[in-house]
Amino acid sequence: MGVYIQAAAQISVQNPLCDDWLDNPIQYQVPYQRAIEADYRQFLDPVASRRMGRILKRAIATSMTVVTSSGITNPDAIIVGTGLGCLETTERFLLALVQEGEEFLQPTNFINSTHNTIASHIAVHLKCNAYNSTYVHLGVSFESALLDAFMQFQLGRIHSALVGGHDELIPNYFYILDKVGFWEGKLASECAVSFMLSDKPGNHPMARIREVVLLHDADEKRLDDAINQVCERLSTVRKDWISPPSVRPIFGESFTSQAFEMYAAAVKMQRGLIADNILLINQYRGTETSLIFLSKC
Amino acid sequence: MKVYVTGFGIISALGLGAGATLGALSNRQSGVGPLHWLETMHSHLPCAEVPFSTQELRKMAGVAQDKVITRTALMGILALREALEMALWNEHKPLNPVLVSGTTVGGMENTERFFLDFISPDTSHDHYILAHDCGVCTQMIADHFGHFDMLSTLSTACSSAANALILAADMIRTGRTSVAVAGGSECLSRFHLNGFNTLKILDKDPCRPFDNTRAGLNLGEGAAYLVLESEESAKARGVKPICLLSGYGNACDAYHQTASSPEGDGAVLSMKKALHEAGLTPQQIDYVNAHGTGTPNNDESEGKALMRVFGADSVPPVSSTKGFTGHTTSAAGSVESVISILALLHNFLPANLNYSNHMEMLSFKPVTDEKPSRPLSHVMTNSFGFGGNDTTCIFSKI
Repeated sequence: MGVYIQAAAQISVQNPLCDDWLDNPIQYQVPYQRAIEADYRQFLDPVASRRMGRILKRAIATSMTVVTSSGITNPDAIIVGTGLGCLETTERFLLALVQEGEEFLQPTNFINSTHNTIASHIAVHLKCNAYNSTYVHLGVSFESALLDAFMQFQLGRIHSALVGGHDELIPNYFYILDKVGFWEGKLASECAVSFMLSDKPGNHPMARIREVVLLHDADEKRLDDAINQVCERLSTVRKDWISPPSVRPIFGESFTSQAFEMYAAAVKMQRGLIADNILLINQYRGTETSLIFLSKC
Repeated sequence: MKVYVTGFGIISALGLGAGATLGALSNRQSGVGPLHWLETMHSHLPCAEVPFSTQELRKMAGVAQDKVITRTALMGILALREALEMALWNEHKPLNPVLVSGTTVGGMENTERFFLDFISPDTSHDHYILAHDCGVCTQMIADHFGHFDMLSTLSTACSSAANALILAADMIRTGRTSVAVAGGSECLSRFHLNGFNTLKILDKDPCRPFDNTRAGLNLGEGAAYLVLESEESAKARGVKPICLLSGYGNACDAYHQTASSPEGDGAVLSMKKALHEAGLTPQQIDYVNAHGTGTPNNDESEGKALMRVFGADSVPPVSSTKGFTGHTTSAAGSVESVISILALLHNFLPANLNYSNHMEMLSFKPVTDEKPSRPLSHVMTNSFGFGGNDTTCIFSKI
C-alpha cells in the first residue's frame, strides 16, 4: 500500500498558496505575526466569505487549492487537526458571555465555535458525505489527523483523503499564552495547510508517506525503539532517514506547525532539494511526540 | 480482525458506575432535574448533572487538593478507573496501551470564570490557562493512571466519543497496539448551555425524544470509557471479553452546521457503513440506541433515516436514553455505548422516557416496554454532532 501526497497548499506568514518562501522567505523580527491572507474571492462568494472567520476561509482556500491541483473533487475522507479550533468566534461568544452576561448572546458565534466547524465547512463546501473527523490533541493535532488518514488507507477503506492542519492565533490568545511563557521567544503565528492524499501517485506526486507514529511521555529509549521498529518494518536502517532543519523559523509556531514541516519537506522532495528519506520528529513540550516518515516517489 | 470490549466505566446523572446506571435504567429513574452546581441565570432549564460537586469528584478520584484539574478530567478519571478495573488492568498490564478521548468543552468551565483575568495583567488564575485545551484534559486523565504509550483527542462535537472508539479500534486493527481505551468526557459549562440556548433547542421541561410534542433537548454531563482489546491480548492477559465492537461507520451529513438533512442522509450512511463493517444485515440488529436528542429536527431526520436503513415496516426496537442522562454532548457516544452494552448483557430494552404522542411521519414508536421480543445479539448506537458528524457503532454478543 502506498499513501502519496498528491498536492499541498499553505496560508501562513509567507506568501499564500505558493512556494515563494522557498527562495525568498519573508523574515519577521516580531514575537507575533498573523498570516498573510489569500484572495478569497476565487474560492468563496462574498456573502459566504463575510459569514466565515479567518480560519474557515483559509481552510476552504487551501482545501480547494489541493482539490483543484489533484483533480480529486470528492475525497473519501476529510480529516482536520487543530490545536485550538475557531478561536476568533469562540472568543467572541466567550467575551459576550463574561462581559455582557447570559441574556443577549448570538447563536452564530456559538455555531462556529466548535473545533469540528472547520472539517464540516469543508464537507459542506465540497458536498462531501465521506468520513469526517477532527483531532485536537495539542501540538500533535495535525499528526493525529494524518495518522487517522493513514490507517483508513491501510484498512482499505479509502482511496483519497483531504487532510489539514489549521490554527488561528488571536491577539488575546497570543497574550494569554505569552503570560505563561508558552512561546519561548519563538515567532508565534498561524497555520493553514491542506494536503490531498491518495493511494495512487497521480501525475506529480510530491512524496510518499511511509508511516506515522504518535507517542506519549516517550523517553530517549522509547523514541529510539519506536523509530527502529519502523525502520525495520520498512526494510531500512536508521541512518537511511534524515531529519532536515525545521522550517518553524520561516512559518512560525502554532499547534499545528508540524503540517508546515511536512509541507516543506514534500515541496523540497519533489524538487530534489532534500534527501530521499525524511524523518520528521515533533516533540511537543516533552509529553507528546510524533514521527512522520516520508520518501521520494 | 475482531475488536473486543474487555472493560467499561461510566459516570453520568444516573450516578457513578455501571451498577448505578443499570439500576436507574431498570427503575426508570431519570437523572434530569434542576441544576445544582452550574451557576447560570438559565437555572429554570432542566439539566442532567452528575450528582457530585467538583470537590466531591476530586475526593472520589483521589486527586490532590493543589493539583490543577478540571471537572471534565475528574469525571473521565472516575469512568476510566471503573473500565480499567473491569479489564484487570493492574493485574496484567497491557503493552503500549493507547488512550483516545473525545471532548469539546475541555477546560472551558475555568476559562469562562477567569477569562477576563487571563487577558489582564492579573496572574492569579494563570495556572488554568494551559488547562483550557481539550488535549490537556486527555493528558490529565491518562497521567492519573500512567502507563499510556499514546494519546489522542477527538472533537467532532456530539459524536466525539463515538469517533474516539473508531480511532481506537483502528489502532488495534492496524496492529499499532493490542489495547486501546476510548471514550469521552464533558462537563456542563455556561458556555455551551448558553450556546445551545441561543439555538433555542433546550426544552424547559424534561425532554421527550421521538414524541410528537418534543420541544428540544436537556443538556447533561458525564464520561464513559471502553477498553478495546485484540483477542490475542485478552487471552494473554487472562481477561474475559465482554462483547464485540463489531462494526462502526462515520459519515458527514454535509448539509448544515447545526441542522440535520431532512431525510437523514448522513445518518443513513453511517448506519449502513457500520452494518457493512460488522457484516450484518439490518434484520440482525435487535436494538437501536438512537441519538434522539428530542429536538424537532433531529428526531424527525433520524427517524426517517432509521426507516430508510431498516425498512419502514421492520425498524427494530429504538429508544433514546437522553431522557435519563440528558444529552452528554461529547461523551454521548461512549455513555450510550455503555448503556447499549448493558442492554446487550442484561437482555433488556432501555425505555424511551416521556413518550406519549406518536410522530405521524414515522412508522415506528420508541421503546416503552423493557422486555425484548427476542434475545439481544446485536445492538446499534447512533451519535450525531453539529457539522453533520454522524457516527454509528454496533456491539455484538460473543
